[in-house]
Amino acid sequence: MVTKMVRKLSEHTNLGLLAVTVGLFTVMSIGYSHFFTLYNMEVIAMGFIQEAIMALGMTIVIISGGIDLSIGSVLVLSSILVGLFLKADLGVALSIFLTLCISGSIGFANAVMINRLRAHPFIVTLGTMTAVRGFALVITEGHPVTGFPKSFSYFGQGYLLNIPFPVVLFIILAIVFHILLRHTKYFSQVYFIGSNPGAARLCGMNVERFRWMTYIISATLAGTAGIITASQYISANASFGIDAELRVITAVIIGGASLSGGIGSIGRTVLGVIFLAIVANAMVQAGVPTYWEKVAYGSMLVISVVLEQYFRFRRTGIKDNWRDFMLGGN
Amino acid sequence: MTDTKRSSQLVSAALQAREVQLLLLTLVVVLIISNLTPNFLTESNLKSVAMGMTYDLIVALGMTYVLILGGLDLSVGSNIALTGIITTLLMQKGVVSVPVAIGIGLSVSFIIGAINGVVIAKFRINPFIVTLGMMSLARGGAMVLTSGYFVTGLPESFLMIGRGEIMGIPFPVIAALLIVIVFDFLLKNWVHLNRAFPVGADPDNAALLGINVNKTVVLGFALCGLFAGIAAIFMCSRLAMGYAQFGLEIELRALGAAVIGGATFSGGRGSIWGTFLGVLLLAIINNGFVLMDASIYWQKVVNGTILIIAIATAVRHSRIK
Repeated sequence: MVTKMVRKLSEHTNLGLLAVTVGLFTVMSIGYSHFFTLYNMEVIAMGFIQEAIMALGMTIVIISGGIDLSIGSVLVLSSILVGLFLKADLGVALSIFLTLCISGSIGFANAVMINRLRAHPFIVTLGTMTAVRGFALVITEGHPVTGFPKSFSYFGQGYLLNIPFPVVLFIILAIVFHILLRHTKYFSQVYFIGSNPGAARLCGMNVERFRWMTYIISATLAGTAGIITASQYISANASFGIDAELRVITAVIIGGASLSGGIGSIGRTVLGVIFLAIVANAMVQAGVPTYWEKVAYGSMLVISVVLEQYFRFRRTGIKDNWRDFMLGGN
Repeated sequence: MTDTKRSSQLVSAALQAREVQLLLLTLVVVLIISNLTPNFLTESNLKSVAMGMTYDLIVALGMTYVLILGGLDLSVGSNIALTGIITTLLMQKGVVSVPVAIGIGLSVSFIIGAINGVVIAKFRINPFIVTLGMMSLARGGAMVLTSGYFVTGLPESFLMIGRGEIMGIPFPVIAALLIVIVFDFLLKNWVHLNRAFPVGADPDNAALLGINVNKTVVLGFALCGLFAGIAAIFMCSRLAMGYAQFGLEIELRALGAAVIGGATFSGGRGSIWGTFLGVLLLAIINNGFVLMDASIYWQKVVNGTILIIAIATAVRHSRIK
């Protein structure tokens, strides 16, 4: 009975990580009186909300065998664009719509370049990451964009049923993407395409067209995160979202997605996001200097990948071919 | 008749070579920029271009080598920061003498690269994700060590490394050129380095041929780290400090330069002189932007665009072949 329940649970989530998360949460709650309060729960959720939203898109991209490094830059550009549109008196709805369209088109451009150049997504999105952030700096000349209308602040600061609006939005998006990946025919192709694109192509799946979709979703979610950031701070600044891609990728990988594609789920990613959000908050509560943050994220990323590979090797006894993990392929 | 035919064949063959194409492109860019601004072809400006490209050049050599192996290294910029901080901290505190501090610094850079290589080869993890993690880790380490402050007050003998000149040419420039010549020669002729080509072209096949792929990969990444360490020593000495933000985005420029120079991401291909010309071209273009008073922010846009264009041309190049 219990083993059956555990097995059922392990299908949906990463049990090891769940145990670590619960352990960390318990230790923090006992050790720090300010940790387990309603106020701090809101701080935890809102401190990581941009990464959480972007992680949903990154999950789909990583399952499909790709990666998107440009999300941090898209976040910046979108926060600046929505500010400029609002200042141009385009109205809140139209500004948001235009910003999301432009963000999505950056994702589209990523996918087209990956398809046409047959280059590794790492490299292509590394290029757009630099170019887009540079463009954000060029249009603002490094100055912050300020002076947004009051009505716009709802998206980052408003409450719905006593829950911050961005958190509600994240929960809705997570449920929607979970259902799409698990229960629709079109989206569940992602697992097949990610684990074996060649075979998927032979089965008649349009891998190139599917790639458009994954990168457009990723970039549009980054655009959404940018709009929320702009609304939260009532300003937009070209230094938003630095290293965001690192935190997002870490969350997705820690959750249990595999960089070689085909493995991962929204549920696992949500757990990874919750874990990192708690770690980030715990470091602040424990008074760890902020400089340690970079060290923590970098080592967690590497350690989680190493552990994943180690257990896979223990389970299957098969080491990857060199070709499969070096950048060659595609 | 046959002579002219043969010489025209030679010319067209030469024009096919990536290096010759690059050299011509660089000359065109120089002509354009020197026409647009009189300040380009002055001694002081050329000196600053040469000095500015030195660090990129040294880092790009190591990057070319790991690209030949079929990998890449995103941690070189953070390696520069951490190595520089450790070296300068040791000297500032006067714990050890200058040569020993430099030796320790270079060993640190070598070890950072070797750790990358071991994790990549031992656990068979994509180099991208490993070096992305190391990039964050090393940069974080540099910040933790200094809390973001500069490390200054370095001994005069250390500063001479970056500031010394031989016949008006800064010492780091001469050293970088020497490294290029020696590394190019060794890569072509020394078995242990030359192995990178078969390993990068087809690692599984190379293993069948009896090449120790693991060792080649680990040493390759360690070498890349060492080159970053050498760049760090020159940088700290020239600028007379260690700083946790040194080497930001140098990995992008190094990658761009190496790919412009003919290296590909699928491994097995790359040329040291091609990389040299790639670094030169990027340095001249960036210098042109500065001289023409274009916003410094355009540099980022241009660097990203150049990287994408370089990939595009590299792909076309390999398809033709």
